[in-house]
Amino acid sequence: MMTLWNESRRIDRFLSGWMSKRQAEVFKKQLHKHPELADKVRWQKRTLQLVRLSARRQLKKELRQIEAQLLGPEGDTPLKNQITQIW
Amino acid sequence: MITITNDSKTKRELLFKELYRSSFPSVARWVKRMGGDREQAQDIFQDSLIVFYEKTVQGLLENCDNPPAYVLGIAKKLWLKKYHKIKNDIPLTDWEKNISIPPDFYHQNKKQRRLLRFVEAAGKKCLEILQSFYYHQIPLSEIARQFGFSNTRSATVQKYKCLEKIRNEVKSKNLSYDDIME
Repeated sequence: MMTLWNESRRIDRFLSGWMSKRQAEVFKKQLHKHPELADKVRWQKRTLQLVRLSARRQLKKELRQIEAQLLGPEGDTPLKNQITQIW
Repeated sequence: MITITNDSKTKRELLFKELYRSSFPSVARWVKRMGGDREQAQDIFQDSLIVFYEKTVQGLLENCDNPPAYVLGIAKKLWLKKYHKIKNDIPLTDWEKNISIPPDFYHQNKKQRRLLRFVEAAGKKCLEILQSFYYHQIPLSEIARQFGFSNTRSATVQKYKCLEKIRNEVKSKNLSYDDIME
């Protein structure tokens, strides 16, 4: 019996383009036959999109911290001078 | 308890600091020329670094010999996208025109933002594992080391369990939001 995570792995391989052309064709046929599998594919795709958007938000936070370090009182003087000259 | 080391984060921080020093002044000058203020320059520059980083981890910039020029090119494209400027108003070189920006970069609807907040609150550790693999493209062997799994296989299994957990939660939450909207 296929474990749940094996099914997720197959969906993952399909969405990531890691399947061979033949494997992808077989999988697509299964999607037509099994609506519940198609539903999982749809939600997995959506979840990965949310993971990406969330990672971007996290990265933006990291960048704000780095900027505060570089442009703050103890920051990088040559960079600060250049920016001050612009504004 | 799972602990995470900061190796990848440290490497990222070094890359970003280097790019701040080499590229931020030119992006800031350009934004000022376009009539933007300092806050807009900082915002566009940070977003440019995110796009640059994504392309780097995806292996799309292996032949990029001038990262500051590339970051400036991204900043110009993002400026066009974010402030809906007309392309003809901003002269772009041929290679700048070819720089691609992820289509979902500035397109988040209200429902997505709510789901995002929910996902971030629901499974922090799982989310970190998924982000490490799918976004930062860290190999599973390294994820196993960073998150304290005994081997790559354990990390692989955990990654799929996390994917299922979050997928099911996203699905149930999204359906309930649909109900509210109806």
